[in-house]
Amino acid sequence: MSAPMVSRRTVVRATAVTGAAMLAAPAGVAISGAASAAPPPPLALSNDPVIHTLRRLTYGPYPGLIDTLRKTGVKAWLDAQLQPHKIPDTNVDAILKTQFPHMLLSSAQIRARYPDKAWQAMQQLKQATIIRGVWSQRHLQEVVHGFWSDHFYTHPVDGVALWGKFDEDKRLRANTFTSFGRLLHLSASSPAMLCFLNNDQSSEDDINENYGRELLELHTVGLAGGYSEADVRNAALAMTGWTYDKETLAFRYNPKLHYNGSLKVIGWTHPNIDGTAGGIETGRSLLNYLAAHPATARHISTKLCRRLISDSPPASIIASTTKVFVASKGSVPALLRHIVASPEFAASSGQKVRRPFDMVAASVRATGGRYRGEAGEQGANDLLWRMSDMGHAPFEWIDPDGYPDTGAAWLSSVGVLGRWNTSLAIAGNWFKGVEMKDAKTLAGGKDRPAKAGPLVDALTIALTGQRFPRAHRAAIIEYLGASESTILDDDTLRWRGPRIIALILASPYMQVR
Amino acid sequence: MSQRAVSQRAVSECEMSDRPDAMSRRSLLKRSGGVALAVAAAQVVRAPAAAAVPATDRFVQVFLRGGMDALNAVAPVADPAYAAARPGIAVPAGAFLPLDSTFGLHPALAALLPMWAAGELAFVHAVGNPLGDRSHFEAQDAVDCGVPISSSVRTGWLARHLTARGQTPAALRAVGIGETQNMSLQGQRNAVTIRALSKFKVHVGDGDRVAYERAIRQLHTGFGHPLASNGIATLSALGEVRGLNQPQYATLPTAEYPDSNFGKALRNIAQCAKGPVGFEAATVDIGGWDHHTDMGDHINGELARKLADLATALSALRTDLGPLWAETTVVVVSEFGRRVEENGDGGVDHGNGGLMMVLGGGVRGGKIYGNWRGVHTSVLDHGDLPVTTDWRNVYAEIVSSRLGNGNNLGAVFPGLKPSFLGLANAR
Repeated sequence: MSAPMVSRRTVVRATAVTGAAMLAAPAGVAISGAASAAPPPPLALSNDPVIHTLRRLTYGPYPGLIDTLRKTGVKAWLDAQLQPHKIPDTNVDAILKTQFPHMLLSSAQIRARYPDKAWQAMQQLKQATIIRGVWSQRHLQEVVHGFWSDHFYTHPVDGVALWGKFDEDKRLRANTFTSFGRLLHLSASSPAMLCFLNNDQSSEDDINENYGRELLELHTVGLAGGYSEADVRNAALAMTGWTYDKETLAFRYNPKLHYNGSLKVIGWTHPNIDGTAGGIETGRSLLNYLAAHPATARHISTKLCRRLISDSPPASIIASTTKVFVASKGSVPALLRHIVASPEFAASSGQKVRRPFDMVAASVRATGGRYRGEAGEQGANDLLWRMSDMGHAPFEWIDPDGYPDTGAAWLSSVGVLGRWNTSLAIAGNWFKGVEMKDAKTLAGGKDRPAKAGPLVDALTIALTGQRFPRAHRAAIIEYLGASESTILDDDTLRWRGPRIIALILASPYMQVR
Repeated sequence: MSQRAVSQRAVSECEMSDRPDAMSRRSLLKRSGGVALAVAAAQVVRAPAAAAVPATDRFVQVFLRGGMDALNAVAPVADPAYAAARPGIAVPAGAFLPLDSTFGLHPALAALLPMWAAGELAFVHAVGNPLGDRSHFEAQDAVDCGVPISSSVRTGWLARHLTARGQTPAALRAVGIGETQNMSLQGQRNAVTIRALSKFKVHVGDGDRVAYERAIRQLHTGFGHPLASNGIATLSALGEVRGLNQPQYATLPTAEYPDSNFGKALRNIAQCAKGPVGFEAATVDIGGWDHHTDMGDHINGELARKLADLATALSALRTDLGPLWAETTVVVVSEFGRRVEENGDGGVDHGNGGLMMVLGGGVRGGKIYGNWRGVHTSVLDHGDLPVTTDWRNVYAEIVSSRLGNGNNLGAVFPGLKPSFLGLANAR
């Protein structure tokens, strides 16, 4: 993108600014307006620190998980979540092993099994991603994997960008909690990335700047990094030769494609004189320089805070996180611990709007959804279809910047309507392959409250962790044509229950995190 | 060619206003123009536009995905090199509908002739991407993004146009009908595909709808948050679309749409246009123009069927829109034209220069625009019609003359030095 052009990413950024303005009065923060008309109060979302933590560090709280966290405390739970390999994940393991066995294979193996069926193979990876998001016990790993997956985004269009995605996704997940530098090297040597951003076509004779540009703009220093068009070109030249073996789909450095000659990118210089043997070191050196650059520290810290705190994170938390990034050499656990322990995090309850993936996953989790794919039939297909319909299925964004992470990007009328209809579908148990609990079970089974008022309370607490304030509670009771003390018998609840659940899922208490 | 390239990517999105406060029906009516319009029983008075938002045409883009064969659609019948290059698939000279001294219209496009005669249809020939890319994928992206090289700018040109025009109070600002997201609208907020107007509703039964939407309204009331304002705005938009689905906005009986996906899509677009809200831009895609093989004859062949579907649906749209046609501009575009010489399989491979159609009440039609150099091998570019008109200039002129956005061409088509063909009257 040359300077005067308007890129999609620029527009997304502009959107983010709008979003910040729109969200300037988030839940829990009073607006101090001098205007004569009193501004409306913020959403009365629960500030319970356990529920807040779970809204941010998982794809949604549910009663059993809330209980666990209350017992262990946030810090011990976070420590455990940062060691995902020690957390048994038997449910997800069993689903993947029996229904998505090929997703456990390498890219080359999957390609061999799905000749001419790339799309079918990719649909499986998308489903597996949803299954992990909803049912994995490695909650934080899935959330942070999602972050890196958006940051080092590759769209599986076709060819190696598609086939390489399977390996890339596995590696990103396995390295979720390592360091930024390691993730950067992983991405830079990923065949999916090298194909998606055309580094495989870049050579001394025919340079393709696509990867070099995004390496600077998206992956590392960002637009604030102060690089020039010459830096973009030189970054691309430094990375020439980074390609892959078409047969094995493994990374390969091809010295024949490598440019030889001294290079300079921002403050990095390299003689780059021996492409035949040591040329790969030129690229590695550049990646190391970029991973440690202060602008990278700030760029990544800002994005992490945007994901975990608010669309427009306070300057204080960006500054302190940037310091942690520099001091810890980009350690992901250090960054997460710092953000989660910060006062800015504690004060941010409700300041994020759930993106559609998050909203669907959180709703299924809250309603106690059980995966029940039958033999030979994959059960997350309807969930995938629904996310796709809402514009946020795994790996369906087409551009290298990953899905936008601000509320404003997801709140058009069609987007909002999608949330309401998805809530109806989940509450109504319309999805093949997933079974949600019914209203009676969620409200306490045979011990459930009989009267409309307490019953609605029981359901809002079960689904969102809180009682709704008076007017919003009344909205549901009135919808039922009931009053506070109207007795709702089991037949009525069976009939009206799905709609009550749908209203709670569609409510702002479920749509924000 | 990739799976994605052939797929229709038939599209649609519905871009909604993010200015819920401005979304009352009254304000929606204000921006629609100065013509008093009676639609059946409902008298919809269209007040003069507010000064800040100049009245514009409705814009409809029809994208023929796959690369329409421009040379058989509008053929240089007078040029012996045309028939010579296509011994098996050229349309016979006597079958063409004459357009001017050089060109003839494919007989399957006959339904367009009344518009041609009325001066409401112009063709632009040898038009396309000056940096011509013969990959479907790259070439489609270039057209949708409005830049010659798709990898640099990834927002849609229509999205940039709408953004540059600023926020307007329309509930249905851009409407698309199809299955997947149209890239030309990408970058406009959260553009999500709708398949049909009839699908834009809350999925509860009619008996429950009022109570359910009332509960939703209450749940989005009483606190300050974009979810609240956008939730209320969404309820308003639902009401507007319900209005569109009322019987008084039914298709005019004289408008006979073909019973095809494209016919249904244009019917939906007309329904939107005739509603109280209207729209600024609509997109619809038709796939299946990639005729590498078996193009067939000019009566029942594959290409002939596609062209007939296109022409009859466009003709029905004009009829259906009635007086609104005067303020409507339709552009038919494809990612590239096809090779001049036929291949060994009764088809033609990917080419370069192609054809655009511009239709509407403000078009200076009845004319074929562009710099025509013929199809003799000496003028071809690797066997293809060379591009002599940058396709963006066609759009740019419409954006300027009909869509009220001439001051923002730099943002809509970055890097373009506009050069208008004079194919549209200024509003």
